[in-house]
Amino acid sequence: MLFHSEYSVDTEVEKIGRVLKLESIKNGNVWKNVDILVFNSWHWWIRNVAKQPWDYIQTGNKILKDMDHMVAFREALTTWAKWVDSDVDTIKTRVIFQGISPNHYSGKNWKEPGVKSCSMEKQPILGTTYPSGLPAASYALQDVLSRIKKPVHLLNITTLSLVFIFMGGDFFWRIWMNLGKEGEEKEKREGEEEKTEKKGKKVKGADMAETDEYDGGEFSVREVSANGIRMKTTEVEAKLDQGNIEEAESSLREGLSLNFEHSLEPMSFGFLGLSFEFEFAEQLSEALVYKWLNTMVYEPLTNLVMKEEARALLGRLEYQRGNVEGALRVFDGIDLQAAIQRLQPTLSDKPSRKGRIRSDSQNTVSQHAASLVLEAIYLKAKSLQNLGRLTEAANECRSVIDAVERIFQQGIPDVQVDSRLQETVSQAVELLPELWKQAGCNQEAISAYRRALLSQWNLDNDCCARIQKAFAVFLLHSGVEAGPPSLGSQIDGSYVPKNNLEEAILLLMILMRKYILGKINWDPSVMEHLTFALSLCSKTSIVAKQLEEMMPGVYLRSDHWNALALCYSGVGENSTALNLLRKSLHKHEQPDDLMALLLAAKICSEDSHLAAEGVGYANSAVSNAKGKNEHLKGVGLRMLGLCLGKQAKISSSDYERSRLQSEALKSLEAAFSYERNNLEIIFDLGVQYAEQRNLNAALRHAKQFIDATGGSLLKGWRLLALVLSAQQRFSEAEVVTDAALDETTKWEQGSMLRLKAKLKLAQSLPIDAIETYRYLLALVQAQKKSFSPHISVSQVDDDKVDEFEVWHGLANLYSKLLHWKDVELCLGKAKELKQYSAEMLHTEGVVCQGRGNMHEALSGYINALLLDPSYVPSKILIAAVLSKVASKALPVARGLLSDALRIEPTNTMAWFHLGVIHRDDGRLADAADCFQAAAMLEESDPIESFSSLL
Amino acid sequence: MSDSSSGKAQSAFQSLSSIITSIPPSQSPAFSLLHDLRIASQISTLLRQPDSGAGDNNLCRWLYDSFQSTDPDLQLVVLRFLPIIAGVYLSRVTLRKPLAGFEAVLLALYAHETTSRAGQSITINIPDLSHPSVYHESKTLTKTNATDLNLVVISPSLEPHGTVRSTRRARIVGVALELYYSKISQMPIGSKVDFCEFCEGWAGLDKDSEGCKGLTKEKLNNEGAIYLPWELLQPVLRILGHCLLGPTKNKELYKAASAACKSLHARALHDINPNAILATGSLVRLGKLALDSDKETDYTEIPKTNVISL
Repeated sequence: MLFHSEYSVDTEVEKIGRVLKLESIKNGNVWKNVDILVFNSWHWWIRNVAKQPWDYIQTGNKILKDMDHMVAFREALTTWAKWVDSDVDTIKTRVIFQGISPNHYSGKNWKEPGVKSCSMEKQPILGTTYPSGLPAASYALQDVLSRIKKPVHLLNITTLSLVFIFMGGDFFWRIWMNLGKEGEEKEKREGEEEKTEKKGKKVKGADMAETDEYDGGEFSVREVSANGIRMKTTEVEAKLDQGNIEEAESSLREGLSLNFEHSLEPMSFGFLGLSFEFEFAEQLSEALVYKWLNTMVYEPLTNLVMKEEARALLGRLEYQRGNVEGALRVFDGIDLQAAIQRLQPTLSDKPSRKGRIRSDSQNTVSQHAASLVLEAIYLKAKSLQNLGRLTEAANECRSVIDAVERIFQQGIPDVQVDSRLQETVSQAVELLPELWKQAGCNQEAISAYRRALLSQWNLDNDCCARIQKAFAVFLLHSGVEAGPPSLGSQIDGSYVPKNNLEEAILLLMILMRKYILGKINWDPSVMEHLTFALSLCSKTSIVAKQLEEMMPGVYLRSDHWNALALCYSGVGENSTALNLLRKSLHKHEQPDDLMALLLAAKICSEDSHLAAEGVGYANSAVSNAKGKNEHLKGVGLRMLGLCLGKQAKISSSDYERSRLQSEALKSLEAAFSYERNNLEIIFDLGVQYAEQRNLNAALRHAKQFIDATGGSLLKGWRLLALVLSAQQRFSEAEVVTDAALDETTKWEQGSMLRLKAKLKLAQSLPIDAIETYRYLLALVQAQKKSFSPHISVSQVDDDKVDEFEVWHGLANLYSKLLHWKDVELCLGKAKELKQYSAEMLHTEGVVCQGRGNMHEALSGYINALLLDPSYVPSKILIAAVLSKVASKALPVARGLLSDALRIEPTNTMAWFHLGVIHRDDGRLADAADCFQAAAMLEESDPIESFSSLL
Repeated sequence: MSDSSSGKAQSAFQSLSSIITSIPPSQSPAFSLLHDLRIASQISTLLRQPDSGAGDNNLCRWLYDSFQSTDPDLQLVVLRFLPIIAGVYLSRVTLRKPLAGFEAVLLALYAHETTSRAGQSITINIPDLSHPSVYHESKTLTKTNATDLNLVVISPSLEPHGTVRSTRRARIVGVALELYYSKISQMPIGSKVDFCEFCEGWAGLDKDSEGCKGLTKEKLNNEGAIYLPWELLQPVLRILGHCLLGPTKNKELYKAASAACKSLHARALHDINPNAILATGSLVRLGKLALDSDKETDYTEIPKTNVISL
């Protein structure tokens, strides 16, 4: 349907005559619901008075006889633009504005003065610019269109039409009309008879024929129904389904050329490229021009450019239909590599070849063409991926990236890149490592990841983050060692990860940083991967740091505190962990969280001053271990037992202590009934029984523990040896230590050997004891040699022979043998390693006392107590010395001993000296009790305190 | 493949035929030994026999010889069976059964790893974002020694061992597992599944009823539970991470790995071991996320539109 409304805006007949109303566009209602609206306006505005179809112009409230036509044109256009924005549904209706056709009325514009019309011109003007420049109206048009919000396609025929002088604006209209007619005929053929639909889908070609040559092309509003793209695709798809790619392609091409949006760009591209090649030897009639266009322009275009593009489109259509095999057949039919190579010269920055016409639009046009070709290869890769042909897919995908790299040798610039090209590039960069990964080509995947991340692809934040995460996960879990990145990517002074873990942690930390800076969205898996990686390294303090940097609200705060507590506890910062747990276990938070309760109880069980608090947590854990968490009940009971046992150590009364001890045992036994195979409970029970001097039970548990662990834990051997020594079965204890020594490597033997020396001494074999120490010292020397240069402090603590302990132990041994000179020598060596320690000051005191130097001895003991106020041996010896030198000091001595017994209720020496004091004070009954206690304890005294086991 | 290498594989193949009952003929013995399911199932069955770990066991001998052949392909074959060897071995340690055969194989693996890294510890430097790296820029270019503080030993130095001392047992098996992990991308799925199943057993938690939703009653099992110190647990977790989240997706493996992670997480809670709780907890959550990730948008897919534009 042609709608003749020359000015877009309304012309109404009023009393004064015909009034052109620049701000009224009533006709719009008729146009609104059609499929495609093509507007064109301008020629009408430059008509002379005789031909103009109006008498007055109305703008606002003013009615003028005439005005500057350019101003009026702009106003009318603005009205039209507002109407498009407000009334047209651009989803249903495609709006096209055919640009200004230059007037070909004056030959002087193309340097042929005197010519009045272009109808006799047959050859294009060389060059991309029209000699007299663009008409002013086209600037007005561009200006208005730039402000319109909805999508309006400007069919910019201005330059084209200027260059091809023989093509007036009508030339393009003619194409439109013919195509429209075809559409109409096709519709009839297909017999879609529904009237309502057809109403807007007709092109009245006859209207055009009636109009004169120029005016006929200048109907400002046309309603054209080209076949909609869906109709076309159904037709094309039908052909594809028949396996007829060629036909599908040609029908698609045919269909495409109907659609201006589609045909325009390749057309102008083709035109610009071809224009210099035209050689028109003879004059052609107007009628022949169209034919010429078809044969000389469309066909070459179709064959040169459209071939790949039509195929690309066809392939995409097939791909979207889910027919990847079909898509692949389509893609296989064209040589995409050749197309890329053909595109490259125009895309590179090299100077253009002779005669080639360059224009501003060339770059964007080339980019667009390149993006189509690249997208086609990309889709080929996707199709191959869908078919499981992964290596081929990866190679295709890589060729996309290679091509882009060749085109943009300096990396992709941030601006002026076709958005579609950028999208394809980003997708290809992201897809390639995934393809290699799926194909099982791990090294290729690694280099693809690195290439994606270390080169300039102008990826957006989210895409980059996805690749970084995928790479980090790959590094963490693939089990393939990637090796450090190549030297090429290294920048001076920057950190280069040297193995998988380092690189993965670095990437994950960067992702966390990006999230904190608000650049990417929160992805919980990033934090989980980081937690996993860092806990493998036992470096949970860094997890804590990451957690602390996190915005509140990501995790529930009690969960957040619990996670932090785990992290701090993991690196031994238990007091920080406990403070966090106290917060999360507060009654307004999550007081019933089992993990938190258990961890809190465990931390408390290690410190007798916190044990009472721990009992609370453990009790709560036991009562909360229900349902699916019932399996943790035994753990709760175990913690309860440990806390009670610890609490017993600082209890002020004997009654309280024995109550707590028996409760502790009861809890541990209950825990054991829940978890028969929990090795730790067996050990805990053994220690608990031993401390309560139930040596038979202790022995049973110690043996059971060694069996259950296969003797793999040193503490089990030590427990057994100590229990045996407490039973005064020294030789058996020695057998146990020898067995333990067999099961350990030399660096872990320190504590066992010292135990052995003590056992020798207890069996009155001092020479053997000294021999054992000699061996220990040799071990220390060997250890120094093999570990000295590169050893981190943390490693020494655990399983290496402690040289200080050896010297100090030897000093103690000599002091028992009364070899004071040797004691001093050993103490000197020990002092070199650790200048101040309670044990050493105490031993110095013993030396002085042995040499009869009571005052110095006393000051030695007191110094030891100053260093460690709970150092029991010094308390006892001070009391002993005091009770000997001054009877007035007996109450002080008694106080010291009571204090010592509070700390170590089973200390034989303390009971003995207390008995002495009672005796000296004349309290014989009390003295007898104390001596009896001492005698009983001596029978069950281990050679080292049981508490040294924990 | 060099001649000597394929020759070694061929002779190993031959000698195996005297140990297992049926051995299918093969063009490429090394490949068959690693991937052939019939061979693998026969060897697995033999390894699980009650007396399999004895010092005079033919199969252990064969595994030991194959590893000592120094042929990389044959060494892979031995590693393929490490999950069963380690699994059966660790479960039997407390049963006072002869295990010298297993121990010989494990010690060979340990010795190999000790030699290949010259006994050195493996350390890593935890990155510090305040230093610029190849992947990011940083404004502060101050050169501090702070990074030195982030040096972490992820596998301590190795002492040569001629026998398995019980206190070193976990370390020896752990190091063998480190070696397994370094070759895990070449391991067949079946081997990894074996490993996951043993892990579940090692955790020692019985699942009475798996059917009831969320109410899986877990109880410390009398059988199977083994002592899991960090030197053993750390390589175990790395392998499980690979099984659960590695690049090759396999349903059976995923299922086995996530079950193992859940069991080890429960075990970590029993031991109240913060490091293990964090690591296994993350694995369990990541396993769940990986399950959901199938529904995630695939950003490499082109947008589905009805209008296709050129």
